[in-house]
Amino acid sequence: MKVLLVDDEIDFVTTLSNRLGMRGIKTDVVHDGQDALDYVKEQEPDVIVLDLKMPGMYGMEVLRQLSKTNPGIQVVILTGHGTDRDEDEAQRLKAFDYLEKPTDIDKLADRIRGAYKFRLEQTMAAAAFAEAGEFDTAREMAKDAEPLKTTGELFEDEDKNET
Amino acid sequence: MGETQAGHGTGQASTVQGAGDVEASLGLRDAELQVLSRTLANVAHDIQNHLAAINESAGWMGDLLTLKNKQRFGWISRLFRLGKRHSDDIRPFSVALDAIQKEIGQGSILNKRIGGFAHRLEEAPSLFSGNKALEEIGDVLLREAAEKGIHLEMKLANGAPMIETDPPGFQLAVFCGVEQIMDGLERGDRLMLEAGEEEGRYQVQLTSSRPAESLGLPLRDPDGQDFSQTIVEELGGQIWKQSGDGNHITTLAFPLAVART
Repeated sequence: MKVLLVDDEIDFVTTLSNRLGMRGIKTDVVHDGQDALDYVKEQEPDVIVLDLKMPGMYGMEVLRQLSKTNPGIQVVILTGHGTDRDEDEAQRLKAFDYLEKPTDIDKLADRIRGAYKFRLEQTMAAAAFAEAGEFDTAREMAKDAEPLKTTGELFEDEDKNET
Repeated sequence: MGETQAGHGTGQASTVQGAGDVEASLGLRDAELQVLSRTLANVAHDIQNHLAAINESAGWMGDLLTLKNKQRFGWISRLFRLGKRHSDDIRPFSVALDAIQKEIGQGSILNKRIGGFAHRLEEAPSLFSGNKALEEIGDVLLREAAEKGIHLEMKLANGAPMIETDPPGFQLAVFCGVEQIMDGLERGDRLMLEAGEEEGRYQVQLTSSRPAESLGLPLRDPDGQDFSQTIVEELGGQIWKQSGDGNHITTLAFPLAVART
């Protein structure tokens, strides 16, 4: 599993990376939106944990571009405090999940694993259709996956149990 | 927000001041509010980032302690199935870190509400959760009630539907309604704020432990009207008051969101 953390708060994201590493999730780190897009061009990650408010390119713009160029990459938004509008927009752009800082590290690790699992399922389903010669369906599957409607609901129950 | 709020006090204000003057001063006030709200939202966001960084550092220390504990006593833990229990020399650190993270969690909730409130001041009429908007002003009201020795209780119904109106207007109407009632209450009095869906509307009901006559006059707008009433009516809602059995009930009712196609 290849995971990219995108956040301009260097101390925060370094510690986050260490803690995820302890939980078996190796990560790479970049500190702004443009670096994230450059990284994606060179080595496509499975999951990106993306901050919204960053200097230069706003995280939502990164998500917008990724949804066009690399719709298969699963994005977990992790923001200091977005607005309701940000959350709606992230959902519209098919972000896998939307979390607010500070978040529980094990919860974040679960979301990352869930996002990776979802990506694998999408890829395998698309591959199955492609193998059967149904290329249009395979393409549509890759494009139209709606993670927040499926996995998001699963996690809601988990959240209720936590609170 | 500008246009919506500028509309609150205009109209017949020409008897006191020129209508243009009132509009100009309200326009300036709107601009000031927008600057304040953006500043507040940015500060709240930055504080949130600091809290998140402290939280991660505390968590990281906890992780390292757990790791150290596991390295030293892992085999004993496994043998006696002790799970994540810490050894005696590590436990005080673990307790302190838990306390830090708990405080960060509570500070973070308050800060998110301040940020949410600040963001709402920027919003145009929109679809939003009335409960969430009430939670944002709830902290301020609860604090004020505690200072006055009033028992304010908030009961927000689970699963209340969204409303579609001007968010700061909604918050201001409820805020002014509660303020007016609290002004007339004394130490030890009770005030209950209940909100949820009633008769196809989102209703906020304020029940105080004193009759209407002891509650004083409502906050007035420049036209001399009850401020809460003016706002609620401008937002397409209704406000009504009833007294009985030594209680007074003020109900603010707002239209629910129209289903979107």
